[in-house]
Amino acid sequence: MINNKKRRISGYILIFILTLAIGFLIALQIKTTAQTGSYAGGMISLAQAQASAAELNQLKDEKESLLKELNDLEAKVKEYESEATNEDTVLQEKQQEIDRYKMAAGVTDVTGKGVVVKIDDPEAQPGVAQDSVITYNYELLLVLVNKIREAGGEAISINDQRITAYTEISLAGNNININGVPTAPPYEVKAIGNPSTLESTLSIRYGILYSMQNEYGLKVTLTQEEKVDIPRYSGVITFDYAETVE
Amino acid sequence: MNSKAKVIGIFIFCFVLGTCLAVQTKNTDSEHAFVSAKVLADNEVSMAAEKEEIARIQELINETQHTLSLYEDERISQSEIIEQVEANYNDTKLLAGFTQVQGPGITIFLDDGVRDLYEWENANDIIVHDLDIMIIINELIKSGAEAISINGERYIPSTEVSCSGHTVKINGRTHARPFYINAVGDPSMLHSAMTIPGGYGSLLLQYGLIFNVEKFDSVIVPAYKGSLTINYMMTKEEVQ
Repeated sequence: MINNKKRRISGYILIFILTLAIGFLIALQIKTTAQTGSYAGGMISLAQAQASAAELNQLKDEKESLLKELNDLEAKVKEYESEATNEDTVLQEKQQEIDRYKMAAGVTDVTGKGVVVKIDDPEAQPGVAQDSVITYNYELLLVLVNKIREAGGEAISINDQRITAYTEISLAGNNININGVPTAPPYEVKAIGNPSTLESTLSIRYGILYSMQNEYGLKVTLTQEEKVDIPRYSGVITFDYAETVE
Repeated sequence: MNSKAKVIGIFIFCFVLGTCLAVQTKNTDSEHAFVSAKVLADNEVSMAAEKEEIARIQELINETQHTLSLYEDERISQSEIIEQVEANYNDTKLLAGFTQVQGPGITIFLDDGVRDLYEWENANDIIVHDLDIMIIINELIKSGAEAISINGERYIPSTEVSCSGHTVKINGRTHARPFYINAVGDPSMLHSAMTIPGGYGSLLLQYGLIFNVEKFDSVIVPAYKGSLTINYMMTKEEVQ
């Protein structure tokens, strides 16, 4: 009798442990494979994410120091040039014109009053594979850029990519390429211009930001700022086909 | 019979318990928390972007260093420096879109459709919109266009294409249909980007709009007609 009871209890314990293990495994499985439909599915450990964030920061620092080096070098070149053109007022004027053309073309860092628009994908539903809304509707960014220009925006950048006359916004795989550089959400669109004109043009009812929020479910915020820093286009623009004619 | 039901009961109970336990461990242990792999994927994209930019900046640094070394060694005379300034002036003017340019390229003729509307349709379906023009320009730039004009208006970084009723404002001036878009660049690349099946040009044609693309050995894209006004942006030097 006692023996029999003992065996039954140990059987229950075994079942308990086994089912516990199975339940645990299944739950783990569901969590890790829930998003396999999407490119960015699955889970990774925080340590891995932190390592990659650290690497990214390192690259950003490297870029900053290189940009500083470039600016210093350009300042030195300019010094030599202004020395050479010291006595020629026509040439000095031309040098000032060069600076202004460069600003307009987007190959100088600029700063000024303006607005910053932040755009992010809707909150992911747990366990549902979801593609980035903004990435697959990148025309919204084209519309936004166009509206900023309508409102008199003088310089625009998206995720620190300066928008020039040679800037494309294109879908490449799962990213949006801007100036040939891959970008990912959240998007930060900066514009220099009259802050209140920009804000009222962009946030008008049934306007672009309204439709991003209400038709596409994107998270959008707009802030007016006293000082917006917009970086230069950092690539080299060459002309292989176009030639200046008078 | 009774013991079999008990076993099933225990099974279900333990199953639920195990599931809860697993979910709990995953959510509360912050040291070993798990985050969505999207974070990692986005970071990787950003890292690729930074690397690309670093390479480009390095190239610019090398170029500037070369110029500077020429100046420093005094291997070039003052008149040569002046020549360099003149060349810079012409280059930046070209870059900013303030010179008329010529070169091989394409012209696009774009107009509202003339077909009859179906019952369920709206006239908007066969009308040229500002976004159509923006997308075409974007596609042209993607295919390496070096200079673009719309109805004689040079596309520069401040160019807006703004629908206002039956007319469109481009560079602050009013234009109306039809639209002529000129682009200088590799003609066959530009042409195929515009006519590729599934591309935006084909889509416009499907909707019944008029969309014609022609290659030319020489296309003229005029200079920006307005003057350069800068009211809000400043360089870092100006701020100081």
